[in-house]
Amino acid sequence: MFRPALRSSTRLLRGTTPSSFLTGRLAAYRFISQEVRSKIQKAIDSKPVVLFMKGTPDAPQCGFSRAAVQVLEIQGVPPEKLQTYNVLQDEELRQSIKEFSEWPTIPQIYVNGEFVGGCDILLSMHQSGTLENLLENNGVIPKVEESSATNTAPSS
Amino acid sequence: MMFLEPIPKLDQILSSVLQATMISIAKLEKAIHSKFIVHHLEVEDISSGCGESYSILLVSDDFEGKSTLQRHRQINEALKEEIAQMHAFSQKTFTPKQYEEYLEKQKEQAK
Repeated sequence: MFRPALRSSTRLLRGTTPSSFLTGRLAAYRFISQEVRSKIQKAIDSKPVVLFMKGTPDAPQCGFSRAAVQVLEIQGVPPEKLQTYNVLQDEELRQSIKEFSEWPTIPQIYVNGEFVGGCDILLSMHQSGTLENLLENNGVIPKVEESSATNTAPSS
Repeated sequence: MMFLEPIPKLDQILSSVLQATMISIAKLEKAIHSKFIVHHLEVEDISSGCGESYSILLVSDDFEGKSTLQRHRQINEALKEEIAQMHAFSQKTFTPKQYEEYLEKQKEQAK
């Protein structure tokens, strides 16, 4: 009951005074600075596949991050095309990546700068085969030619 | 009731405060029902006791025509406050039709 009333009043103020618009926004969001934003953007652009995780690929600190690493491994993502960032070593990154991606949890996966999702999405894409397609189409892993020999329909 | 006791123990106070603020299956279900047209919902506590990890399976018509990413974003937004209090949150999203297919597949795998 309270919320819609508040919202409509800020909307009214927005039209009249620009300063109240700003304070209204500031109250609602915690902005990440432009500096942090560009730092994250750089991190995301550093490699074709970028994984923000808890721990490192060799020593993941969380089951979900471990699962994400394993999926990328099974898919055969070459190490030179994968960059991982340990959010546990960087509290600023840990908080700001959530806001940057508008995603509340870690791990987070980017492919060629595009946000793919978290652990659930990565796993389900892995199972359905769409992850393989995505990685192939982005040139991360080589396309596998479907061999016609194995795909022939059984003759009756 | 706690305040009927002359001197409530500190841990009792703490635990009642915790219970008021902590996320529970019931709270999550309520929040989801208030924000989605629920066709089917399963909420599971996967924390093995600490109450900080949940997994949900939501079947809703709201997901029709939306990508998995969009659906998850929708849930993330709707459960923003709750998710912020958890350690881990896992979700599966289906439209009623997809859920039927999913159940069929599970049945086949069980065979």
